[in-house]
Amino acid sequence: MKKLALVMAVLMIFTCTSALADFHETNLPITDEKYEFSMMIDDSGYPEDKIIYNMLEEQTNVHVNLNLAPYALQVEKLGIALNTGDYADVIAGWLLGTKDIIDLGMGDQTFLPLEDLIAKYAPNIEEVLNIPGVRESMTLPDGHIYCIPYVVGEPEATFKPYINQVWLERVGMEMPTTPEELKAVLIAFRDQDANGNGDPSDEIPFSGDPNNLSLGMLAGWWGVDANSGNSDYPYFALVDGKIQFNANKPEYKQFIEFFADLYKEKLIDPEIFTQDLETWKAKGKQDLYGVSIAYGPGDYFENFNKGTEEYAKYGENAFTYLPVLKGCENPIYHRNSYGVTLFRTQAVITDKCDEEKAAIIIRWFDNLYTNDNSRQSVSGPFGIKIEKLGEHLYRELDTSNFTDERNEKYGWANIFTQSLCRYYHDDVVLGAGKTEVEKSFNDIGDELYGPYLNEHFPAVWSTNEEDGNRASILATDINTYVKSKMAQWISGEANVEEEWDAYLAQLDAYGLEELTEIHRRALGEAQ
Amino acid sequence: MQTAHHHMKRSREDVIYDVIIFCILTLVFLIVAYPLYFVVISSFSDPVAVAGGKVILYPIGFTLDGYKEVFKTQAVMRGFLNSLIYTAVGVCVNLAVTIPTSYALSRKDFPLNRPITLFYIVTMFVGGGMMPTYLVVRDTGLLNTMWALILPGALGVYNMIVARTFFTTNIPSELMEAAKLDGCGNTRFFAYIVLPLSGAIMAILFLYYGVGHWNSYFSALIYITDRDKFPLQLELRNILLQNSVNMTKTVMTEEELAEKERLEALKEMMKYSLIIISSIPVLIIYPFVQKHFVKGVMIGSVKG
Amino acid sequence: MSDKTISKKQKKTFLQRMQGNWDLLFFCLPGIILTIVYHYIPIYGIQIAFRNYKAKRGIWGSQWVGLKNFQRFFTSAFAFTTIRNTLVLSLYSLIASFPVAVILALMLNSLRHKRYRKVIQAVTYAPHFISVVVMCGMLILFLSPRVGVVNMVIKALGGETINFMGKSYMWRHIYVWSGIWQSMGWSSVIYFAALAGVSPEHHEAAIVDGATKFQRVLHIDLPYLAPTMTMLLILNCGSILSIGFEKAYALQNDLNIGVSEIISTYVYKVGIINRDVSFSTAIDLFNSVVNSILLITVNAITGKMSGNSLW
Repeated sequence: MKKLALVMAVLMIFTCTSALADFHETNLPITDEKYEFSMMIDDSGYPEDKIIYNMLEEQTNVHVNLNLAPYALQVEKLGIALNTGDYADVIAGWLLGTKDIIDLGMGDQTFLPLEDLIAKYAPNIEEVLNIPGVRESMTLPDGHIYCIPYVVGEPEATFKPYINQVWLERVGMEMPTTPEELKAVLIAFRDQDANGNGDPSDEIPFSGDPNNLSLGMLAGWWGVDANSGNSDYPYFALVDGKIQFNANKPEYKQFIEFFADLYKEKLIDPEIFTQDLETWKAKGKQDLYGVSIAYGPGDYFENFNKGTEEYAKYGENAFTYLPVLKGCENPIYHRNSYGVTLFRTQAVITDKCDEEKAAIIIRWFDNLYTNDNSRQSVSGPFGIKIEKLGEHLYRELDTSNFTDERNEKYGWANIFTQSLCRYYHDDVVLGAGKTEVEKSFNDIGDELYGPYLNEHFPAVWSTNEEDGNRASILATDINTYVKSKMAQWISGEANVEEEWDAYLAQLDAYGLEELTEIHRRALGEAQ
Repeated sequence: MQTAHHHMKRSREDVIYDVIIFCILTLVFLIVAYPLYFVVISSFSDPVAVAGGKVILYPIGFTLDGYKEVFKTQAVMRGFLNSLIYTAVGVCVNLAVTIPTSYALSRKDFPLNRPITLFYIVTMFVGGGMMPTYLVVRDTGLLNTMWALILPGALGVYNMIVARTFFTTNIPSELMEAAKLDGCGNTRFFAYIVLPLSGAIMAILFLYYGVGHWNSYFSALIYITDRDKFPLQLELRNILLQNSVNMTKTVMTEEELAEKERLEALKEMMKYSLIIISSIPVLIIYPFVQKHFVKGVMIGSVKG
Repeated sequence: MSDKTISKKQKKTFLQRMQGNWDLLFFCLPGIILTIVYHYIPIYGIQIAFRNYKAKRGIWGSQWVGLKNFQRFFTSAFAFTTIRNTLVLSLYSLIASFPVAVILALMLNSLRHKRYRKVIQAVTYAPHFISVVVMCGMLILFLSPRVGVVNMVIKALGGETINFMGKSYMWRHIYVWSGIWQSMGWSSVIYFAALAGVSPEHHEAAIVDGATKFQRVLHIDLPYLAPTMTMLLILNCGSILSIGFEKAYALQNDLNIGVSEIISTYVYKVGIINRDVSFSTAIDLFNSVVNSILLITVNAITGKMSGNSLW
């Protein structure tokens, strides 16, 4: 009997220590034997193409089993996975929202609390948490942190209207500074042959990317921000620290009337509310737009007339930002960030993992969070696409002699799951053969728009489930109504003057006051 | 003794009728055909021209890139093969389950007729929903296998009712009674008399079920996790939704923008060639199946 | 004949009637087993509609909330709009597409040129296989005021371009008729196949009696299709509220949302995007109940009227 106990004791010690011996708390590799964990993330590519993961595996001995699908599909699959209990070890990317973290993290511990693991095993991630403001925003009301923080630099103002400078020159006008001046410019675009193809009637003075049309942002020209894109509180804005609904203000009505007038004068793309993305892009590529709302400069517009003298003057792109127009004394514009944005729902470790697995995963992420790894995951491997010049300093390598295949292989989307959190915010990346950083288009935009930007919503965790459910129904109804009314009024299908009072009454009937109260409560916890 | 008059001179009304039919059908043909024709010429055209509305009657910016991309994409080819297998096996199972059932239910003298029919009709009203079904599929070990796509929907009630109607209309009970007098049991009757006469309905079911399998993606979405088991439609959906707008992040870096551009361009290029490639098998099979509609209908031989 | 003669005093017992027919039961067995396993067993999941489902607690462990999920739907100002839109769209589709399929089949059957007929058939079946997403993209393109074919034709004929997708009153017509375009060939298959069973002798007899082709079609072919037509009509009624969301979603825009928001798109936005299984299950249940009532009613009516019914 004693012998048996002794043997068992020895065996137990063996197995325990060997398990621990396999996992290293510091230094690489993370484990002695090949280890594996599964990750579900949104990505349009295929796991075998993600070569950076191979690099990371060599460093850590940890293999990641990637479950990939494009965002729309993956969200559906995630719903099924979470509801049936068949989910991966890690869920990451843009798939989760704050509601999920609250319900599944704080609520029933489907997601594991991470702050202890990070403190113990992940110095790099801990550093990110220590950036001022981050830890508070990442911590839920129960004191735990459930996600890995993703801090990234973002423009302070994103989404702006762009104007074609070559066209401006051709019609001999100055950059407009007020809405009325804009109208004059648009009229010139409409009537003259601004795109130089001999036909004065095919120009579309004003259009917009159908997926990012939030015209309500432009109500800022009259002083109220009625932005609806990329927001937790569409059509709401913070004014003096208090949240208020803006799609019912007199200034909003002014904005509607202005654009309805433009539409009537045929200055706006008749398809602006009905076209799909491809149609909008195709028209842009045919040089049909004077002013357009778009993601960014991109190469939507640069595919034509490139190389002609007129265009050469403007460098890569004939389009530049339309400035914030003075529709009133103090126009404002929607603020996207304060230069840095923290994404709080980026990566969670699920309860499919035991303690050891969670620790290994955290260490894997910590390895990803080293500067060099994060940088390479974005820009490409050292020696092929990029070189390191010093701490946080990198330079792109010349890739002009790459074949199409090689470009494809090392292309940004293929080498890594780009929706995953990392840390590369502080990096300075020089262009190939350059020694100085050039001002980016976003920087220029921020300078231009900086003075006008309004307050940004603070990051809160609204934990009241009743409120959350009610808000989702109210918001859907109200947003649909506002959006459709805006479209109808601007396109002339309905008249804003006649319908304004009924509109206000209807908003109340849809529960606007209640929704505002719910939002106040949610923000009030932080205010 | 009459000769077959309908081969000789047609009456004036008949001629008018024929002409009208011809004209209407031709019109229908043109209206339906144009968008299809459009798909074909677009698959050979420059995607920018297509989206810009320049492609109307013939390809603009002729290119084979759309097709090249499709064949280059391993995932698409794999999906194609998978779909062929799933459809072939699936239809066999469907027919094996549906035809006997609908024959049995077409027999008014089968005492369990009403209860079993009701048993099936009820499933049209009441369903547990996607999630509980998933759990059952999982617990029966079908997850991530071909059978998850085949077994749960093996008998489509709609199709079964169609088949049942076929049997009631086309297999008169006198035939059965005659056979019974000769001592022929149900099974033999079914195997030797009914089946050979079922060419038309088998062809229809083959088509309905086959297309159902070929076009389905939702079951695969839920039940299949291995990428190399995906059917074609799922891959197609993958590609068409590649730039699906993700609602949390609209700000993009230069690279993200460029990449988005590239993916969208790729998707545009493949959009039309994908349709053609994924429709070809069905369009090829149909004419063969159609032959059987006309064959094997024996009505005249019984009524005397 | 032994089945039909029932003596006045005794009816055959069940076992007696089953005699010799047991093999018919075996014909049905595989289907029954599969249906029980994969359809009836999951029915226990319907109760999710009455619970506040949380994955971790499982179905039985989730809190019972009675009709709360249904309440959430019906207290939305939009709920009735979506129901109305769904019904209108469904009925319109049904009433419009039904005769088209039948008439197409009849016409094809009458066509004398067999080769040409095969060509037409092949062409009319093809649209069925085009995925909804792509078809909607093509539709938006064709109808575009700037680059669309339809408007080019209108302009060539001297008219003004029409922004079809921007007019909400056009939306339902666009939806339904594009659906007919896509499905009419496919729907006519079954009628065409059924017509193959029409006895040629009937036609010959009619010709002898001096009937024109048109009269023959009307009085022989059409009635022959009656049972099939009735059955399909009934079956289609059973899915009145269940229009899938993909097409409406793809064709939706701000200007037409008043008519294009149907139950499934609404549930998608609120239920699926928020991953609210309880909500979507509740609405599905509501749909099923309404569909069922409709199905039973229509079946009973047609049963009385024509003797043809599903059961």
